[in-house]
Amino acid sequence: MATLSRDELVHKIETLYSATNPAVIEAVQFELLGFQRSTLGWQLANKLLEDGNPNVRFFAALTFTIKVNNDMEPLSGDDIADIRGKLYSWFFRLVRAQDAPLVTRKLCSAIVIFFMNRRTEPENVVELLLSNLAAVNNADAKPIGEVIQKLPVQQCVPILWLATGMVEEAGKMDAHSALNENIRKLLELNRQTVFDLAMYTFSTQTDSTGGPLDEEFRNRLRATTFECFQAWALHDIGNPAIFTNYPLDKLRALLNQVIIWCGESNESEALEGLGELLNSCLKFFQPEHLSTISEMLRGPWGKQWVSAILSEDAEESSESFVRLVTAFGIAIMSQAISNPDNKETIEIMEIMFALISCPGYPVEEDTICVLGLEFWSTFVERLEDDLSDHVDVWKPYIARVIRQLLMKSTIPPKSETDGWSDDTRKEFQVFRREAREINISAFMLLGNDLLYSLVHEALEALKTKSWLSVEAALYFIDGLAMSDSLLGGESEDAAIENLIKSTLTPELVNGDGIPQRLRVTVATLLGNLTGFFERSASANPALFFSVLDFLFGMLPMDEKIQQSIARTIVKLCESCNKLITQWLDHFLEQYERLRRATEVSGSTKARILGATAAIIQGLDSDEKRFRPTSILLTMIEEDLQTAIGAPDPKLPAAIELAQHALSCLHHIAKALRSPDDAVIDLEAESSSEPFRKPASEDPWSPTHERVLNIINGAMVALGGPAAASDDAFEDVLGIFKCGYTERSGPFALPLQSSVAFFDFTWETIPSTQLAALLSTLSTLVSSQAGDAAFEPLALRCARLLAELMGAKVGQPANDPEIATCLLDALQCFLRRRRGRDFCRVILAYADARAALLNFALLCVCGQDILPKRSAAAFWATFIPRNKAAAATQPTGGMLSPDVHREVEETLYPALCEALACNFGGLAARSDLDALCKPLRQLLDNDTRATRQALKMALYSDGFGQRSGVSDEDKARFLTQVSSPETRRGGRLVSVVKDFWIKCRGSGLGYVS
Amino acid sequence: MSLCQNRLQEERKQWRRDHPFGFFAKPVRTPQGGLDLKKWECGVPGKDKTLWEGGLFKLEVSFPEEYPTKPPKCKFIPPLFHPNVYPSGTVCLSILNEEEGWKPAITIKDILLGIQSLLDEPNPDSPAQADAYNLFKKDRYAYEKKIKNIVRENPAP
Repeated sequence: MATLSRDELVHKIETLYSATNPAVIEAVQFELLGFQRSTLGWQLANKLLEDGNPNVRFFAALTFTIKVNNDMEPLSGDDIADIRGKLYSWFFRLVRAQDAPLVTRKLCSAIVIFFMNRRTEPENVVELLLSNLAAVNNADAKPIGEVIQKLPVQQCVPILWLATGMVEEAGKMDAHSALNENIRKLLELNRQTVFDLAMYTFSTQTDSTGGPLDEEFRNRLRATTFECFQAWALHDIGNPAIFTNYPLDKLRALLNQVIIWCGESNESEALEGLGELLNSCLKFFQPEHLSTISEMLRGPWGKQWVSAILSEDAEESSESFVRLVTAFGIAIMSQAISNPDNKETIEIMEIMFALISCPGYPVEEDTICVLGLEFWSTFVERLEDDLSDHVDVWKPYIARVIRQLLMKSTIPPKSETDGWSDDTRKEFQVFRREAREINISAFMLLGNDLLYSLVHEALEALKTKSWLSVEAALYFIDGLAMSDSLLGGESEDAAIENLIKSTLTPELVNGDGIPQRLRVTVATLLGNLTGFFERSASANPALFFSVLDFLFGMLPMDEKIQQSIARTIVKLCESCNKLITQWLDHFLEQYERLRRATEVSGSTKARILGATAAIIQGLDSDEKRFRPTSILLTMIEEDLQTAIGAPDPKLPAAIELAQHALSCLHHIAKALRSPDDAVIDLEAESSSEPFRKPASEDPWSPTHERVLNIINGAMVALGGPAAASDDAFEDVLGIFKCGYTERSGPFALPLQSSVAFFDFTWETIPSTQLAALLSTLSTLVSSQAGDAAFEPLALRCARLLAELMGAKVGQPANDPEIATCLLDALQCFLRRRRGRDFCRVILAYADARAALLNFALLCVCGQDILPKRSAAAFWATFIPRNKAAAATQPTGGMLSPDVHREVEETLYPALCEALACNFGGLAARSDLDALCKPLRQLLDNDTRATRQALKMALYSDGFGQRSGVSDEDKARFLTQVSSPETRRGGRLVSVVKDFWIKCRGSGLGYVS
Repeated sequence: MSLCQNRLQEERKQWRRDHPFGFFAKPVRTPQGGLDLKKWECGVPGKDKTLWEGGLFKLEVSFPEEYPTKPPKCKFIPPLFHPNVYPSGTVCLSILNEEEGWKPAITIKDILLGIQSLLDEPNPDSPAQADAYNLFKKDRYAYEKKIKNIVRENPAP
């Protein structure tokens, strides 16, 4: 630094602003920053402001800004006073010399930042600058209003910049913090003068010499003044605390000037700025202000704008006008709603209607209507909340708006949209969705009249085969169906029935040139009309049947929409399954045909098979379900046979067929589960009867055998469990899972078949499948928690876990996922109501016990989050809450006194040490809740021993090296956690969190 | 009107005026047809040029009476396969945690944009569901394949 001469320094600055190579710029910038931050920076800034190059002067002003922002702390009071003097003095010099705006503006920033500093005394900076400038120009010391008038107007501009910067910087500070009291004071001292200055610069047409201002300068001056005013208004509205002694009259007078300026200038900034003030500072507006704007909008000025937006060639600035109109419309909305017949209201509402009536397609050609939605969605919702009689008067108006939005939401012909960009397409879809939202809100006002009119629109368009208009109307009706607006009155259902009975569905199957979008919309609509079909299917089954037939007919027509049609078929079959059982055979035939259709994907077929199974579930007895279930299984068996009998079973097609068989079986299994709302016989539940009949008495036994044969056959065809894909393996597990809670039925497979499958597969499958297997095992154990008959199988499962742990799991970090699944599975055993298989099998054998408990301990100490959480949950369940009640805990009665003692003497202290490590910063903050649970158990179980063990851990060398927490902190922590009040008051977690934050360092309060 | 209701009215107004492209957020309707300002249904689109592009994921945002002092709860419906989404669908995000990053100045727009970013930038330090977290950590290819399927199942309109 010191080695550079002033010339060299200037040269560097010039390089900074002229270089084009980013590496050079970065290097020079870095070097110069060193100068700026050094103690020489102050002198450097002062000297360089005298340079002839504006870039160098800018750099000097920037240096002042950086210095006052960062380097004021070590300065003495005299130094600070000196800097204040220098900043002011330079300001006067630059303003007088009419220096380049970039230099003066930067110096303004430096002054503003200087006064943001807590060590500076707030003062009326604006008045001081005005008076001094006026004094320089030989003005007498007079009231500020007169002083301003004596200044050359050009000199007011930099002061406006400074005033704007001042309030903007203040806005970045926390207004409620006591530390920022001096900033509040600074604004308070300056506010009146700023408003006086703004009033003058807004309204003056002449210079201090009395000569007229140049028109261009005057416009610029007013724009600068508006910017300043807006910044102050937006700041002040958000700080109601300042309104005592607030110069509201001055602000409102200024607001008048703003409105007048807006009507004269037509500048985008003016229009948008006024709109923004209406949006954010409505409290500052008085009725007179709003009347003036209303007159402007309804007068020639407004009419000119409206006719511009309604013409084909609206300018871009029209959007600013629309933003102003929208803000105004929302501002006077309540008044307009209460005065529907008022001439002024009618005229304003016509302007609002114009916003959605511009020519062209939304987004691509008409951007105004997109903006207009804001007003109309607010208006319709406001009407909904209005309980007065005026609402009825507005209804025809709303109906008109919806017709207009419907028209605008009609998708243009393909020839038009082909040229659209992806963004335009997406934005058009968003417009449609938002227009449809308004339609949903309007339904609350207009009720069924709206539905009738939409159905009418659809049917009329159908007559002329205007497919895109049909689609738009159905899209709006779908919105009503999807939002549960259609609650099913007689006339409402009649309207829907009329629509469905029309030529719509036959046309879609047989007609030419039907847009794909229409087919999707119809399929989605039908899927959302389940309520209607549930009500009408029993009275008019033929209609429902024809709809399903139609959907089946559409399936092979278009591959791209198969999934949405299949989803609709599934929805309808699931919700109305009991009503359509008489057509089950027909569905089976339909599926048989579909099965052979090569143009329909396998996943679609599997879904449809599930839908057919849902109808079988709707039959009222098992006797009736046997035959159709058997038919479905036969179809799957045939497909599987084709896979097995393929010349080369390893061919992708054969493997696909085998996978398909499992996927179909899984879909059927899901659909055939007992419904959630099935009646539960509480007496039977609480009886000691076994959960299921023995296989010899179960009429579904032969079916179970077939299902298991399909599973085994498919696994063989896939090359065994180790070669099967994850999807196929998950399908098998899913099929087993579907039956766990079933008392009876085709998929209430013998539970031993699941366990046999686990036994058979666990050794060979990859770890992703092993995780799925363990999760299924957990589900099985949990689902049979209360069934004594499950005990032998539970023992097998427990043994399997012990073997698996020995064979597959070493350190938890080797495979955190398996570690987690294993601990979760063990948890399921601990939670079983009857039987203590876990304890019996594992804890009875010292090796297994030691391995398991050490493993759970290692998980607590490890870095992996999920095993840590699972281990915490495990220990929380494992540790008895208190010694006296230990016998009632899952583990309590099962452990011999020796084992008990061993666990308490060795493992609990080790667990305390592991927990202490975590609380000392090892754990992520989000894990502390989980880790507090075993701590609570330990403390409840034996507070003294736990405290002692924690103390040992906290004061050990290892802990001390890892954290900077003091011994006092540790002692306080021990006292707090050991206190019963802490635990009783639920404060244990917060005590632990505070300690954790201390250990990590206070700056790291938030790390995860 | 309570502070909570006032703020939510303002949020609704701000959202109508300006919301990020492809998102939606609106209060749900009560069975009586009115609006329940304390429960919103929202949609978050997948960010462009990410795995999640083309998807739209629905959320329910519930505001407590103490809002904005306390944060809202955001829940994907149905629950989403993502490392930082709990099996119940609740989103685990620091700005939604009262003890971490929540500030009353955070708007619905900020929240939804934050959730959109979270989709493609999971936080492995704060897993909320095992399935997605494990797959994300162990087999990035399988994770990405799964996300692509999820996007297909939840297409943006």
